[in-house]
Amino acid sequence: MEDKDIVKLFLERDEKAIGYAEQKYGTYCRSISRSIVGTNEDANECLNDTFLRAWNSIPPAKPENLKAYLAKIIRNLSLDLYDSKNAQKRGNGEMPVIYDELSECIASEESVIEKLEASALTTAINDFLSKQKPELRKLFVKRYWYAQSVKEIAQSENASESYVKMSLHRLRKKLSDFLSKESWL
Amino acid sequence: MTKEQKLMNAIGNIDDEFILEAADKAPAVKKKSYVKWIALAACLCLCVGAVAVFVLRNGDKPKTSDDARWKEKYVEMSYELSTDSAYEKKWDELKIYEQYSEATLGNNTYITGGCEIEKSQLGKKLSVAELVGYDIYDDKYYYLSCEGYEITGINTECAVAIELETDKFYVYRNSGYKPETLGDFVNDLSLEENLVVGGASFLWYDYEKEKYQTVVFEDNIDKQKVFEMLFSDLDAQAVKDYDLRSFEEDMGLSVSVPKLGHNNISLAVTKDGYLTTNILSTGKAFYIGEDKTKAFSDYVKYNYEGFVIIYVDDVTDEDSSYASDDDSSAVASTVVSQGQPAPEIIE
Repeated sequence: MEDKDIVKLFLERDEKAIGYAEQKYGTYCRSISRSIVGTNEDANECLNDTFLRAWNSIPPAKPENLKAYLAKIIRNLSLDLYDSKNAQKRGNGEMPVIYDELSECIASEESVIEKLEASALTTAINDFLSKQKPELRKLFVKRYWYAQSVKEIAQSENASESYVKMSLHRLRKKLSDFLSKESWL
Repeated sequence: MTKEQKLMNAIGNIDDEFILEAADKAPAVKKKSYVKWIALAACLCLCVGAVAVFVLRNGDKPKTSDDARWKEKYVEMSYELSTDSAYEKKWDELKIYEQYSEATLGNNTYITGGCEIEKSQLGKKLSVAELVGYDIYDDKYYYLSCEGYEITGINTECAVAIELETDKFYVYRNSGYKPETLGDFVNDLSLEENLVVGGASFLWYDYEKEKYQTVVFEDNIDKQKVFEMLFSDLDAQAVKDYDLRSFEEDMGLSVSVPKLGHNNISLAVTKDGYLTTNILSTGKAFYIGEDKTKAFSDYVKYNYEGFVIIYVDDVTDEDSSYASDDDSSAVASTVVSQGQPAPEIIE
């Protein structure tokens, strides 16, 4: 079923919309959550909440791309769940390492990140990503949006793990320089 | 909220286009897990004894994917926690192809997965390749110049061989290669000669369990048939905006191109008439028509024996096949159920 038809069912408040959305994007959404929260149980919880949230938000939302809309919902839910469970201690899986890696993008003095509004920071990151070669941009998004491991990224991109690590390191450095130079303050 | 969390949240709201571009299109990695480990599990089935098998309705092979059940095989899953990013090797600890994983030759940039290639597979010498390596500990770049060579039967726009050490040659692939037509793709890679075809799999909707299951065909699909049915229209145009489109896979093959260092990657047909692949690391699609793609899917279903793989997880779910479909870090281990009673036979 096409996305526009599923969205139409949401707008018409037809509960079949949830079933179709789950059939089409359940596996994809679940994989996003699993990478972040680390367990099947938590991923299932986030998946159920995702479709409930989609049901409650469409309308008034009318997503042009249902896949990305659902993906963003489950990513946010998964991060919230992960952060709430691991506030005081380091969790399992990729997230502790990902947060450590992202700390490299944050200047040690007078943090740009602190001063920027969230939407301005997203605009800056979009601008940064639009300037990167597609193959490098994919590595960045797979690591920091999808929270995939270096091994998974290397396998899916048919590259060596060292190439992926080197590229991610360079990208983090470039992002740090980019954020420092831009007059977003 | 920490600064890292704020940055992570801001990354979360990037443009949909970037999110979709990076979404894994075809389950190449999962296919690796399925085909490789299911073949192993099949052998272990014979050794350890009891396997859960359901007799097909009326004893016939399924006429369609929707109105009949497939035989089931139970496989125990164990999850490997990835710890590879906890430690980054120092420069001296890296192998040479890890140090210099990126090369420029002519107008193209190539990357390597570390696949070595024999001198006997090489063609003429090309210009010198310039390689760059980066030491993340010392924040230092290293540069190397090496001889580049053609690989016989492979267009240099696709891949080259680079002599990193005396008489040691490595395959470097150009992920930016974009063929115009299916014919270009077949010819540039001498695919008829270089492609190795493995098993197949597809997603089947189980109306009884109300969920999707993966049906795996372990035997190698006939390569001649693959070329006859899928590669006959060499004028088929390549899709230009692959990354911005969604392709719903109907039947996927596990293929290898040993000369390029590709093992168990994806060649698939979609419901709406496309042939898709991630050979040379980036997604490619060619429109060959719904008649051809449906005919191929049916050919596999009617001529090869397929199994639904049921992963027995370490959580309480009875049937974890949905849970395991999308976990690419999962590894299938031995078959369960030695000494357990056989399940009820469905007539």
